[in-house]
Amino acid sequence: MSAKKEFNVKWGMAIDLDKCTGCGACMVACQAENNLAPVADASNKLRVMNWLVVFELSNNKEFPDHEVAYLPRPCQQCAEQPCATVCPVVATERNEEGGIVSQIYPRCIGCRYCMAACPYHARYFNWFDPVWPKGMEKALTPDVSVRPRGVVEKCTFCHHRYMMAKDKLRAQGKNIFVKGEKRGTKHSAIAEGDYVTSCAEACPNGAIVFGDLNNPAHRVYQLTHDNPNAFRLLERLGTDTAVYYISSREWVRRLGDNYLKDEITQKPEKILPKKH
Amino acid sequence: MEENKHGADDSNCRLKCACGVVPFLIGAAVALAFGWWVFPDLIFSKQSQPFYFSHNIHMEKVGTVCSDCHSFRADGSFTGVPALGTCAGCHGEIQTDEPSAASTPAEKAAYEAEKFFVEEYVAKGREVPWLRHQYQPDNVFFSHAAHFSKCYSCHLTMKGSLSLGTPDNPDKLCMTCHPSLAELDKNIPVAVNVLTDYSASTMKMWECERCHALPGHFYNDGKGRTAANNACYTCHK
Amino acid sequence: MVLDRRGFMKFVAGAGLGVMATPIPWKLLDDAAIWTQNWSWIPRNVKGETSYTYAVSKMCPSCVPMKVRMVGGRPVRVLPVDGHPLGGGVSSIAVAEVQMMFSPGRVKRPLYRAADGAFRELSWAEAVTLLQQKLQAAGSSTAFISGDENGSTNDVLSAFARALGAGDIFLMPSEAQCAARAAELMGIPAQLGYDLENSDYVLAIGANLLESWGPVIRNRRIFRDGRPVAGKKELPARLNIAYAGAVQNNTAAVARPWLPVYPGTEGILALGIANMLIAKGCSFDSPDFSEFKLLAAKYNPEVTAKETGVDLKKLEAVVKALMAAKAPLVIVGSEFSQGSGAAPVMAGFALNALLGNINKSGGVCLLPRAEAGIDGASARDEIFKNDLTAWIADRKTPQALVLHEANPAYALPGPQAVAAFLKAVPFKVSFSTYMDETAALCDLVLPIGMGLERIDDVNTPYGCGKTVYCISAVAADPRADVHNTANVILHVAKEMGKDLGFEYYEDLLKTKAVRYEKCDFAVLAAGQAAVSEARVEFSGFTARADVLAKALSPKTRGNKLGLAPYAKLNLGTAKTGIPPYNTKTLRGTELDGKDMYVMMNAKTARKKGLSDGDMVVLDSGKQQIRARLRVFEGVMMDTVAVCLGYGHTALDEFSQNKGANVMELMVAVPEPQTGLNVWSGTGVTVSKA
Repeated sequence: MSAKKEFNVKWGMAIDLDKCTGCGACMVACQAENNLAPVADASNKLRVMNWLVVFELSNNKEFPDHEVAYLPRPCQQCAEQPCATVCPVVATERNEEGGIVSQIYPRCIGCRYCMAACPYHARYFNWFDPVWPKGMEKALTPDVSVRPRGVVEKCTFCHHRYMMAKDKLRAQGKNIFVKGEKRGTKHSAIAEGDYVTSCAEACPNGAIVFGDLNNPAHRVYQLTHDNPNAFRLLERLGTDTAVYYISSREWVRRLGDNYLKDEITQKPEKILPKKH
Repeated sequence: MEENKHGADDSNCRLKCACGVVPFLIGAAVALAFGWWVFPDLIFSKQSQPFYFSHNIHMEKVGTVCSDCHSFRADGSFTGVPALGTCAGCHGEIQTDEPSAASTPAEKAAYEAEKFFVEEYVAKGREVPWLRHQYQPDNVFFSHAAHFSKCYSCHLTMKGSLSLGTPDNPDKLCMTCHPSLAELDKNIPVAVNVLTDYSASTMKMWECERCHALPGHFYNDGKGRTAANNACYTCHK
Repeated sequence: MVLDRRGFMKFVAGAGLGVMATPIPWKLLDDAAIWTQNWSWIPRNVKGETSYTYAVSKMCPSCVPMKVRMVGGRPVRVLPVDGHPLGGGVSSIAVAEVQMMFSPGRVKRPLYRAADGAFRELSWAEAVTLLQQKLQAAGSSTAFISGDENGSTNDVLSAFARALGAGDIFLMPSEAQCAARAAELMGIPAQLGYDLENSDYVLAIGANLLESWGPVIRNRRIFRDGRPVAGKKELPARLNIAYAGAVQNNTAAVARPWLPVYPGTEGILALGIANMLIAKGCSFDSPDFSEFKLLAAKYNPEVTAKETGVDLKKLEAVVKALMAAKAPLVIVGSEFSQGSGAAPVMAGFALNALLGNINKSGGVCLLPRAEAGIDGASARDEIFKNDLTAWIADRKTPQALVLHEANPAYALPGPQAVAAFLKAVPFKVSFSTYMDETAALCDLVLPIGMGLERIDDVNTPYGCGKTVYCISAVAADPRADVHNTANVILHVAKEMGKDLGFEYYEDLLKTKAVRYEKCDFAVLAAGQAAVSEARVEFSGFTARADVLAKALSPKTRGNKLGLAPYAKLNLGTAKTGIPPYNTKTLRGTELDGKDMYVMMNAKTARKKGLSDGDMVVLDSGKQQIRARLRVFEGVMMDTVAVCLGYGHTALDEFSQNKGANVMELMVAVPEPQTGLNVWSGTGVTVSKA
């Protein structure tokens, strides 16, 4: 595995599972923004394309002690990507300021190694050509290319919105970076809220907070640093993801990883050696 | 006789030998001619614009500059071919003088074209289906803003061949990728690849990489920190 | 020289080698690669300048304001509008509303039913003439059903009904109707409102606050702002929500705590809580307070626990929290936004009165009723007095029936009986965007624009804490040959010599807009909402213990299971069906191919000898539906939970062939004393198929 790339700006999410009611607005907003085709029967979940899926979590207790929670799962934008390392054609990489894992459709050969590698099942293969009901293709956005069958796709943190936010700054004659408070740090000049993903924007509950994980002024930084309620999925794999989840319920946090029965739920840095 | 015979045989043989290469050479020549002259016409269909448009008239006679029509919008996107609204700003009515007997054919053509435009498009509020010479496929996010700000920030002050324009001549940066159209007073047919639907002028990735992949254009400070502008997501969507 | 075989071979070899020195192979190879990346049948991105227009969703029951992104004049996205009294995010229906303009289920042109029973197209002029003839013939025997309770189209319909001398005008059943009836019975001349914005503790009984009750997106924005994200420093939540209901639904998922109760016992729970509050010294000023106190005393904690199945310890904690809260609020509603009658809302109002929050910040507020904008038209609350299910049960078949955005043949209890009723009506016309179950039964189907394609308005949706008036301007070119219902009715009325005072609907909306201070029509049409803090003075009420005593009597369940229908917005509404982009939001545990899942907890399933994945039959005695069983622990004991929104037979492929319509199982029965019908306490037997 190549050395982990660090960036000045690391876009990330903090998703509050105590706020998510599982309504699905984020999933629909994602499809509309990223030009995913609808399907009449979406029962076969192995064939259905969803960049963002809201999973239902259960504390597995019997009535009346049962609790339910919902977990929206976008691409986790790992800093150590299991997917990019197995891609034989470099169709996916994380090589750009912002730390978003790219996926280049014309380059993808559809071998699906990345799908096998992704521990989050965040990648989807186009088994079929996308088909819209007649005329509905007129409502596609101009920002995201439509993928043909035979390629893999995934959530891009609405990367096109990042591009457009940068362009807006440039057209105003502004720099796209500003100096950070700490010496030697740079932050994106994009104001917090000027670049948000479609899902975060749509969520009526404000459960998804999007921003720069490296910028202390951003809410997402404040929510994910030294927060005992924050956790990441399968943290002990060392994928170093950019999507944090927050819950005050221990059973929810415990579902974020595969714990042994007698293990206590805790932050991985306490379990893992410093270097891994 | 014998000598003769021998000579005849010899020359026959030489002729045969020479003859032996000829079909090969002819084949090669035919292939080359076909490949270099006929094939390009076959693979590209020539499509013409809906009506006559002259950049020259707009720039020389009217005195507009590139950015009057091709400009940035407030959201940072670039207009490219302007929408009807931009044109209608001037062309609500016919601007060209009605041609007289003394008018040149060029003036007549310009009048006719504008009349057609005003009547068929402006009055009816229809967008003109201009054909574009240069455009990128869907999987490319091309940012004019990025090229304007980023390339300029260094190359404006550079000297010699690295200079991509000066404060007096900012259009030079445009001319790095676009041909200069100030002198152009005719429509150039748009060559469209019959197989790919790409315009013949479409810049290929290797052309982008002439700058993007230049070692000086991205750095790696050895600490794993990069500012690569050759990452896939710099251009792709 | 003769070209022999050898010469030809040489020629070919030369050509072959020569070709290699031309662009042919390389260019073709390159082009072929590009060709495979750009199949002609894959839609291309169409660029253009981005602009925004504003509208309010007429499709989503939460009336969510929308910022519509247009690209080159073409609508592509619905984005949220922050800072709007009804806004704060987008609902799962509204977020793909642009895409729904292209749903295959749309009615594209006017259709009439030919003699052979099939639909034929006709022009609008012909359609309007036909409509006029039929309505002229029917005269006062014309009935109206509207499925849009917040729009001023109802003013036009009711003014027209009045002009025809017809009294039968109905709105589809809703929480708003239950609340309006409750207010009337209690002698409150106002629309009940809920100042969630300023409340710090909300007990929702049955009201699915964060998914289907009231203006949901506004409720959820308040929840968003009132519940800071759990961070390093545990910020105290400004708003706590407790939820009592039979199903651990979207609201219950984030509520602390969830109080499981039997379905249809919301009112009894409210009386039980009232009893606990009275015991703690709470009271209210009402001529019949002593009767109310006596009635509440019947529901002592033990009886309440027995009747509702509530956990007393949890309930006591909730009551304690209510007492301790600065601005407590109780909201009683229905888990599926209909059919629970007026009594639970009355009991809920009494609870709020006990908590002393009427017209107080964070409490129940009395809003001025929405008035009609046409002389002679009935106000919304007047129309609510007519009960649609009761009228259909009476079977006084009218000569003509006009439906506006209503789908009673799917959405009312016992849809088969409703369909039979509709068939008996000699002439029925449906103004509808989609070919829904009701439109498919009609004699004339007239396409109307979606909210995005038409001008319309929103008059204070039920649940708001303030008077809110919005105008939804035309945001997009219609994708079908549409006309506005109100415009057609205004025209027909005029042709029939009954001028309603307006030529166009827009003129009516303009006069409505004028009523609001500092808000002219243009400002409202540009997306701003007119908000008024005006309240109706609270000058006492009657708790109507007599009504409550009869209407909230405990029911015997026998060995039947309680049916707990629940609503989810991502399944669309009866008008829309399941929106195309929403099928993917249905989990594998909700729908599998044609089979939908119903849910019960493991203990109940064991009792009934059922296990997870079984195909089961739910039988209400009159009707049956089939479904698969999902064992889900978030369902009350002896209860089976069934989601609304499945089982469409009309509309399009995205809605059809998916599960069964739970309304089939429901039977509307009169609620004693209130004049409404209820269908929230249905019992069913569940057995293996």
